[in-house]
Amino acid sequence: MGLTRARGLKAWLKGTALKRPHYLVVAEPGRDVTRFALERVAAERGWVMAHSPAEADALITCGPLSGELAAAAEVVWQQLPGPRARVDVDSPMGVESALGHVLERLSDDDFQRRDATNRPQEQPTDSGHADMDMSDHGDMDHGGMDHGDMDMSDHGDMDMSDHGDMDHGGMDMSDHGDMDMSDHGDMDMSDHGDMDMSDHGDMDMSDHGDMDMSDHGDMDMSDHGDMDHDGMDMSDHGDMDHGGMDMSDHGGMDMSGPGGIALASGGEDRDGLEMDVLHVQLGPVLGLWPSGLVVTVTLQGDVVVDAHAHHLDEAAAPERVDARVAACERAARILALAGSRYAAAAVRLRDALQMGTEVGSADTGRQIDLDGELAGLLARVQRSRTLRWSLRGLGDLKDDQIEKAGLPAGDQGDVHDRLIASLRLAADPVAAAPTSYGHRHRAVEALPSLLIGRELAEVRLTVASLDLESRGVFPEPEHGPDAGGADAAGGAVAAEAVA
Amino acid sequence: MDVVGVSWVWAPAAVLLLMGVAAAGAAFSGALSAGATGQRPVAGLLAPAYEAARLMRQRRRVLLGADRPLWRGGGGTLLVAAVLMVGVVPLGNWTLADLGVGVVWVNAVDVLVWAAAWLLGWGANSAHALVGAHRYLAQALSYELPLMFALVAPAVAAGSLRVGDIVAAQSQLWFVVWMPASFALFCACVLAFSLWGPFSTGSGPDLAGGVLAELSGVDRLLVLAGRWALLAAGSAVAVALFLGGGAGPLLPAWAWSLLKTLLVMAALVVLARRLPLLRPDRLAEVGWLVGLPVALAQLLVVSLVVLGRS
Amino acid sequence: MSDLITGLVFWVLGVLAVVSGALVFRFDSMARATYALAVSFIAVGAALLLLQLDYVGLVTVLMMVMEMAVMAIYMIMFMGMNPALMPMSMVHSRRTALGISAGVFLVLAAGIVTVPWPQRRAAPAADLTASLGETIMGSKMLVMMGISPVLFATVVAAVVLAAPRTRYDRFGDDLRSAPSDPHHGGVGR
Repeated sequence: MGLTRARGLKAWLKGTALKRPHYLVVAEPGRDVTRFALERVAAERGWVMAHSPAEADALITCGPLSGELAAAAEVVWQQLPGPRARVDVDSPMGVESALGHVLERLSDDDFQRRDATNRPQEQPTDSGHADMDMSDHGDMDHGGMDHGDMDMSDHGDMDMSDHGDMDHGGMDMSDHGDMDMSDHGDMDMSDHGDMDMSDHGDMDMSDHGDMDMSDHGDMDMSDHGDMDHDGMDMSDHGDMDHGGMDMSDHGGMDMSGPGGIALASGGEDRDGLEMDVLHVQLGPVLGLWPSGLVVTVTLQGDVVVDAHAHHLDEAAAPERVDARVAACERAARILALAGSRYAAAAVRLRDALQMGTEVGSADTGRQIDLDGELAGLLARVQRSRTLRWSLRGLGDLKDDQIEKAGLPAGDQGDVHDRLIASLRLAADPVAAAPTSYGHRHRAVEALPSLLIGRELAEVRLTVASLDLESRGVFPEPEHGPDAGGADAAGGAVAAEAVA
Repeated sequence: MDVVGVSWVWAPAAVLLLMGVAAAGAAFSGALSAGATGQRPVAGLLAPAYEAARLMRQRRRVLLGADRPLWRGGGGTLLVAAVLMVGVVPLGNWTLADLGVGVVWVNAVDVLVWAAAWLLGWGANSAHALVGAHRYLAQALSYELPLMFALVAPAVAAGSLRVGDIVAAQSQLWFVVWMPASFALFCACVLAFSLWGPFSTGSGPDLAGGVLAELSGVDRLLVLAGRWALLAAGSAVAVALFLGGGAGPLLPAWAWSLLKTLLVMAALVVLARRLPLLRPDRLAEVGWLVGLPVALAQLLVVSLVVLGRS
Repeated sequence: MSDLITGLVFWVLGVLAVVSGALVFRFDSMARATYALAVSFIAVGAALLLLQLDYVGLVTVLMMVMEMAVMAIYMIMFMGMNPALMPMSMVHSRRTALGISAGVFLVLAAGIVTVPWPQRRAAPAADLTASLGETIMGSKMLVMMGISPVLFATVVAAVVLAAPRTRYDRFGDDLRSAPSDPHHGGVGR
């Protein structure tokens, strides 16, 4: 009796829980049409797009993923807390059945139980630092290790039980804890004896060689255990130049703390207040972010002090996105990042526009309505004083920066200017020319120079306001920024896709 | 009608009532969201229930390198703070803790939220969560002083820090009438210490959820519920300090308290949806150069009126 | 009965305050140490509430939690390293510190035991907060009000002097022009 009731309650909880799943999308660059369709159908069903893997129940991938993106998707998949489901959608047609499959998987208790028990205890090298013997660290390329697809959080899903297995013995932290920091001179070297020095032997000492030893002052003292204490003049510690330290060296160095996570350290800041320096990768799996774009930033607090950008390979047969749809998507992203209430309307109109291009011009009455609605949205956004207050002066690009980055002339000004320009383009029925291709390659190359020195919020808004989607990007912009010539190429690719 | 303290036996009932008001606010917000995305508002009304069920079924995460006690402690503190806050707020004529310094209590509890928000971001050991934590703290530095001076105005007018006395002092005229600026600032600050709406940059979409980025399952549920509970508790405080508490015709006093709290909360939800995110870098100047002087000017007016009356 | 409960609560708070205070030196992370201190102060504030010094107790909690929240950030900034992940000792000059703190403790404890505390002669005031305020501030209100602006001016001056960028950096020679800041604020400058 009690058992049945408990079972009934569980079933009811499950039924209620599955009314509003949260999902995360990883789309292959050039799969935007599929992604739009997915987002539209999911929204109609009341599903919610997740901001982070921890929030999500389902990982939905669009298109066959490969290389860096596939690896990133795998890391994200490891981070989903579960119950979890993963499906692939390769065309707008497949969306309905994919969502159905997700629900099936999420409600399949046996599958979920198996999944939970079978989840890798030994984390894949990719994401799991936990089990790693610390000695491996030296050989590992820290940069290549997915610090980034995972912006530190990647370490996330790991089972703490792994922690125990970790070769912590190799660096007995507790000893360090007891160390008197001021007493470095009389440090009892026998403590070091407790440490497994052999591990250190395996460390890549050559990195250390590159390092200025005086820099060590900035590091946690407990790291010193890794180093040759005898050789160092401790009295120098006071005079060490903290500011001049090149933080980028640390990336290559084994700065691992407990669990092998790269340590953050300080660096000189623009306001003199030293914050943690963190290396964070933005993209390729990130909400409200151009698909296929990866920007690795060095953050000090939330100010970007260094950045590198690149594009992932796009789909072999990229789906073609109309310029108005793309502009509407851009506007929707800016609005969502700014937290504006108009974001939902922009997404809805983006989907309506996309449906319109798919249906063709048969439904002219509806098209006119849509144009009116877009014009209305433009007018409301233009009138919004709070939005202007929020976005004014952000991501301000001067003419020469625009020119250098090969961005369209219309992109000058701040994020608010570009928001209005995007909405204007989306609302203008005669501007329905295909997206101009060609400039993005240069734009992505020039992107770091546009981002360095800005705060993370501004960086996100700036990136969202520029047309950096990799859809239709070609390795070499054969036709330059000339829209007409490049269109032909884009058209050819699209035709290929249809064929 | 004087506010009297009731036995602590009623504490669980107060907690239930708080959660009920919080759930009502969440449901109302869900309905508005559903309307905005073209869904049936009824589905949105149930969204908080669906979300709660989903999170109860979801597994918790164990993060490597996370400071678990601080992380989970920070998450739980939000709900605790909300409960502590309603402890001194009268429902009609009854209050749980008839504290002589109720207004200071409210202020002290709101400061707990600073710590909770930061711990939540710090404990997760994730870059985005950490930036979110710093954002919440920077935001707190911008709103705290206007909030303090907004709280002082009704206390000065009533000549007491006891919330019951402040309610009683409004029997002739609600304080909102002659200290509207304090009321407006306090309402904005309620949104702020609820870490919600335009003041949710620390858990914003540009940070992949910020302090929420690593939370799943019940941990996430606790934080989301805590935010709504803080919004409900803050609305209840606003009713007691500025809107005459349980005063009103026909209905019993407790019903007026409840009704007014629900209305204030609904108004805050509607207001919050109309505003974009107020990023801390923009908010700091507004808080210090507009909010603080306005709060002080209002306090000066109130003090002069009190002096003139005595 | 209620005395018993009060006594019990007092001891719980007292032990919590001492233990979390001691943990400040045992923890190996900045954040934990800082918030252990905050917990210790909250326990002390709550103990003050038991003594019916409501205002003092709550202000202790308010100020200390606020201060610890901000201090945690400064600890992290000024230590110039990330103590979040890497355990580090919170103790400096252990022997000296232990000696000094043991000495201070003994002096204070001796004070508690040896000072002839006055007996209560009258009933406590109805409003302890008001009477405390009267006692502390009553006859010195004018002095206090004179000191406040001076203190405030000192704070502002210290911040101005400490700021790396002066108004000349921001405005140039013409102080009425728009400032050149890396970031625009919210009031349209």
